[in-house]
Amino acid sequence: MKDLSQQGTQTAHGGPSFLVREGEIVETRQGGGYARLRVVLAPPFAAPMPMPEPGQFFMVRLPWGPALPRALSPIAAGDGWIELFIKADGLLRGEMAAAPPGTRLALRGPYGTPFVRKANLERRYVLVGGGAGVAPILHFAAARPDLVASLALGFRTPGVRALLPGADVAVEEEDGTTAFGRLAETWQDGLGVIACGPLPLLAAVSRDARWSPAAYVSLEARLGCGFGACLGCTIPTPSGRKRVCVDGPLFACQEVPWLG
Amino acid sequence: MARVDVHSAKGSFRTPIVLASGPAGFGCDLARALDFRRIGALTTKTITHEPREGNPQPRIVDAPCGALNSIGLENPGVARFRSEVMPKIRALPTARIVSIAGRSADEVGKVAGALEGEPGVDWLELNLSCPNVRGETVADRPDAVSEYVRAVRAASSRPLLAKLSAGGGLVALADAALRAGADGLTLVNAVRGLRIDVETGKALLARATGGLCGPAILPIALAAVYEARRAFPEAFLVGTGGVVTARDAVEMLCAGANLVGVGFGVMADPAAVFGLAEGLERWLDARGVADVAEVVGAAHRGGWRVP
Ligand SMILES: Cc1cc2nc3c(=O)[nH]c(=O)nc-3n(C[C@H](O)[C@H](O)[C@H](O)COP(=O)(O)O)c2cc1C
Ligand code: FES
Repeated sequence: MKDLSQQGTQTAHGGPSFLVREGEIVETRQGGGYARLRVVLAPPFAAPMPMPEPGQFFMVRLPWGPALPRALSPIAAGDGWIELFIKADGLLRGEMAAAPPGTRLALRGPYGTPFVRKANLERRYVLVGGGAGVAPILHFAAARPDLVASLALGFRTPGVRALLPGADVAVEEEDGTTAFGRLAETWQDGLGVIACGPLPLLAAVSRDARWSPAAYVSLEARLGCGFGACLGCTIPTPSGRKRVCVDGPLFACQEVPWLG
Repeated sequence: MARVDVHSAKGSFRTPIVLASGPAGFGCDLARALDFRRIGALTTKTITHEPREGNPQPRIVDAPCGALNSIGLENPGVARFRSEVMPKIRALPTARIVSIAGRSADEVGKVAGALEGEPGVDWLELNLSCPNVRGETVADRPDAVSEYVRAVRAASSRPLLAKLSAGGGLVALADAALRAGADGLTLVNAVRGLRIDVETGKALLARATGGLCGPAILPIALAAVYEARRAFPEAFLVGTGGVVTARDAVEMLCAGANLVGVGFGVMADPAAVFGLAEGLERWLDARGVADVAEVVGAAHRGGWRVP
């Protein structure tokens, strides 16, 4: 495997990395309309690729075919590999989920502000994940157990459990429990909330005054460039327009009052 | 090494590869890691007189072989553009084409006038064809096109490109723009398109329709450039739409473009866009073509191999 481009440089200057890195899908598991892909990253040409921190994402596409890359946050990451957890729908993700092992991906990044640089580190959190939003939540939980009080993960259908070994997952179809329900059960005074998932879940989290002093939501905007130029992802905030790809994806609920 | 520098009566460009208005923003993020000497010009995000917030989310979605956007001209307005953005992009080692638009001829004249004293504004590009703002797509009426171009011409001494969309009446619109004083044309803007979420039956973009960009529109852009070159053999043309490889760029040049704009490619793989000029040099070298000018408009002369 090789670098797909020679031009992009590493971020010694503190700017974004434009290097496109090749990765190879070495394992795919599917269940409940989702897919979990283990991707081995090609050894870097010059400088090593920075490890993605929880909350950061890669712009991912198939190396062939002129698709717009999709922003994907790893569910897990280690030295030279990442795991992606995606909903198996849409033009690109449908193709990725069905791709056999050996399939190459092109990855650019990591981009975005890590969760730990936005969240108040003096608190512990209930981490809330719905659907594909569990990816950065589980990555964060594994990386910073010291900041985690409990997990509240939810899906519509049970088929996804096989992809999340060891995780306690609420399944709405089984008994009506949801990620939000789990949050409401487990949250206690003094705890913060970090949530990632579909908009209705994020809206419910941000509406609730109980945890509002320390509630954060990770927005899954549609991205174009991923590095702050195209303005595809901007949102209004009380302190002016912000770019989800650079200033987020995590926002304090006070920054996105329109959400609730 | 083949020559890829481009010279027109109104200005020179180090390479024919131009960053199209929009996806590259103001170039500042790209400049932190990529070499702007490989780019002939940066076209800025379109600037209007007052700041604009653009359209609600979602405003960009993927499409087969491209993307659909409805950004809606989000920009800081010309005053903040001058005070905050120009100081940053003035230093870039490339030419600067400042894209402007407005709701009336009066507004575009005011924006052009505000930029008149500004050092580093090498060209203006008048965006007459944004598909994503209500009532501002004036590029479907020749009289409106000439009115807008005249307003800018009266307020500005800078070389001026008029940006049009593909479609019927292109030659009449281009003629109106050139007669009103435009020094060249940028063809094309994004092409109106729609995508729908089948699970809900609703449009994917908040504003339903948007502008299609990327390889899906390459043949459309090529045809527009070809048609314009045939009608205006001497015009200065920037061919934009669907170019992502050096080969695409050669096609655009052969169709008649003097410069080649790249938008979608900046979002798909920005480093590759900054490598396009080198790819073009290698393509020309491999065929013994000494100067990129030799392929410009070749499709109108029976091909570039014919002397
Ligand atoms: C995200 C995005 C934003 C754009 N913004 C502008 C703009 O502000 N002004 C403009 O004249 N064109 C704008 N365009 C259109 C491009 O400049 C270009 O004409 C079009 O996308 C076709 O070229 P492409 O296929 O290389 O992208 C935008 C395109 C995209 C994808
Ligand atoms: S995705 Fe382009 S600015 Fe955020």
